[in-house]
Amino acid sequence: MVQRVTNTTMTRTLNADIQTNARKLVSAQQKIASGKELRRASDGPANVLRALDQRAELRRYAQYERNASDANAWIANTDSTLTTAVDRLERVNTLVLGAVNGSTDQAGRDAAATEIQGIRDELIGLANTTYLGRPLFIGVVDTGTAYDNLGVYQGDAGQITRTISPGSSLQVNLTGEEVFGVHDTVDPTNGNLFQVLDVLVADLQGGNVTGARDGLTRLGNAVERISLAESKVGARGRQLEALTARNGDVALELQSELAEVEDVDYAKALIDLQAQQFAYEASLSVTAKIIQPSLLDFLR
Amino acid sequence: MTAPVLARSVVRTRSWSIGTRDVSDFAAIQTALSGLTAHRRALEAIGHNVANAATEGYSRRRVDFTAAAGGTVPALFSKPRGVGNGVDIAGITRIRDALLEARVRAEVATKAQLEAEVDIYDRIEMALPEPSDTGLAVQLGDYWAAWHDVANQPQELASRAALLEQATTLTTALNRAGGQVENARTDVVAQLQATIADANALAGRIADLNGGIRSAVAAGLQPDDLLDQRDVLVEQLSGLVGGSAREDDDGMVDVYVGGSAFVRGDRALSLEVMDGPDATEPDVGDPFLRVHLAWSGANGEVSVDGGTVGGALRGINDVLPRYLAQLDAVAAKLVSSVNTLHQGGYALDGMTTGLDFFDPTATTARTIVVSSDVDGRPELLAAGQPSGVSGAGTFDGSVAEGIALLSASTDGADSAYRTLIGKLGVESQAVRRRSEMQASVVTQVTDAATSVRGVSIDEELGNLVASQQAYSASARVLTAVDEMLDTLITRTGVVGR
Repeated sequence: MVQRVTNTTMTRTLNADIQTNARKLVSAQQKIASGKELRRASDGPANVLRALDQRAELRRYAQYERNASDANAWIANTDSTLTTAVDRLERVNTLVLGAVNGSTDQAGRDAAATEIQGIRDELIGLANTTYLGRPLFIGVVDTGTAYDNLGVYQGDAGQITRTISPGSSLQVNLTGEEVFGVHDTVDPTNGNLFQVLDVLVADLQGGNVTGARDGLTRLGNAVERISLAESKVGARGRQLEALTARNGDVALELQSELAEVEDVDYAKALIDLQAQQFAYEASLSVTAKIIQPSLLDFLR
Repeated sequence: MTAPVLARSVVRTRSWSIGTRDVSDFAAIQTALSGLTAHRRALEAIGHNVANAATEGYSRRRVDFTAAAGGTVPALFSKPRGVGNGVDIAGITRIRDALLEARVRAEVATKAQLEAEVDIYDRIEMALPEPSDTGLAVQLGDYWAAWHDVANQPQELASRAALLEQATTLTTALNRAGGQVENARTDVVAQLQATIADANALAGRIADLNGGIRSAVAAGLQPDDLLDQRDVLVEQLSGLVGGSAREDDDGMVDVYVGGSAFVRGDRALSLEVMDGPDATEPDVGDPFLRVHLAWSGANGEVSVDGGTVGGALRGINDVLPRYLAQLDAVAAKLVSSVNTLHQGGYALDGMTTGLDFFDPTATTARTIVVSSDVDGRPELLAAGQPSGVSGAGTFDGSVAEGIALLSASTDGADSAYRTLIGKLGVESQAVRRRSEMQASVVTQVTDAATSVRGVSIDEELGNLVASQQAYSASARVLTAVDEMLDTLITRTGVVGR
């Protein structure tokens, strides 16, 4: 390239070089100051898309975590309610066993009946347990309470689910009928837990020991149903735990991937900054040296 | 790129036998005088060059000398003496390479066009800042999450009210983004009008200078400085509207844009911004109405691809409407997908159904708004299915959950937005890269052009010394002749005095 080098060429070239170096320096500084590699879509379209996906995914996982903690509360509440119910029914069982014993007189049976009546009311209360103002066993219908005082189910068979991982949702509720049995208006002995208890109380009060013995079997069936429900809830709890743990891992993984894509590698950025700074200073000092002399300095 | 090699004359020598004839002593004075005059002119040119060393568009001047021959036709008493009559000034050359200058103009036009496009992509990227903690993607994510919260607690008015708040935040963000893209277009149209006014003014000045140049040429003058001024303006004009320039014999330049002459000789047309065949003013209210240029008083469209104007037109007619349409598609997708599910759901009372979440008539990014069906009425949000018990409310959140799951839908609003950002990133990056490359191309061709026409102070100083010496030497010759004549006049014929 045989070119005449004129003074304007020289100043323009030097100017452009200084500008380029200054721009690179500023960009290196901005990267370090913001800590972000990507500040707009054109900074790296592929990486920006990855960052967008990862951010959306992270947002979803944050929501899964919220959903999971809500599901966990449902399950824990249900579980403890059922445990209490089973405890109370153990007591009923003991009372009935004592009452149907040949040595127990009617007064003893009446006393047992009164206590069982109390436990029955307590169980209605348990069946109406609410979580955040919402009865646990009511299904999805809003009728106030799950059971009325007569032990008649007011709810429906609605399922409540929580999305706790991509593409999978977990049922968190049990309906009253699943736990306490189905009400039978025609044959109370074949009815739900509360009817069974009502029949027991009536039998004890009426001195119907044979009936009370049969009631014991029905009570056993009711307890078994509640235990089954309890184990269902337990299984859901374990599934929830496993999914939550996995979600945590995935979220952590996503977080680190996002940081890898979006955040500045400080070691590299600082070295870049040093290099740019050096280039900038070098171009300044070279300019100072080159631009000054002309033939004028050497003529008499 | 090599600088044109200036022709050097091959030296041929030949001796003529002229004998020893009488010569006029006064001829030597003329010869010395021609040297003095010529070198003084050379010094003037050097002074002009040095004075204009930093003048934009200045082409250096060179005084071309030629040896003055003696008369070639002998007369009775006047015969050539064989040694010539000193020096003549053959002319003053304005040194520039027309081809390189044309290339500079073309590359400058492309550079200006790309820079205008980069500005437009800048505006879009500012309207859609991704990835960020406040961009639309985040707002969408928060919106879907709010639906999840409603699904978890459908009976809670608080979570429903929070959802409505988040929905308003999202629609406002979309309105703002759409508005910013639309405003960008309005601004670019206004800039275009200003640029066109500049271009018209430049064309007028070029035509004026052309006229001046023609008169000067006709009067036998050499209007170098007018030419320089005019060429600077021509370069500026091609930065604005691209096009090409052609010099005619009178020294005038015609500038062609879109196939017709913007400037022809000393006459210039003027351009106007139009947005329809008959409209006179662009109606920037409609971002999808095509804007074009036309010659004042004529209807045909003038197609301009290059220069700032070319870039602005591309932004106005292609880039900005395209991204606005894509943003509108995101909004439309959001409205239709959410409304479809929402209409199938039931309000908290378990009976009200068929409500819209977003206003179904407002399906653009600039207009999207929460429907008046549910705005301010959190209990009417359709989160679930009816209970089946007549007259009873519902705790069901299945519809809310379904809407929340639209978040991951592959043809939903999020995925449309993602596609938009991906496209924006790729296109914007490509334009930026081309713009950077073009800038270095312009630097190279400008360097090449100035290496021909630019003033080098060192070179001028060298010439200065040479001319100064030659001037002194010519003066010395004159002194010598003077002394010789003195000898002849005052010291001869004094015998016996």
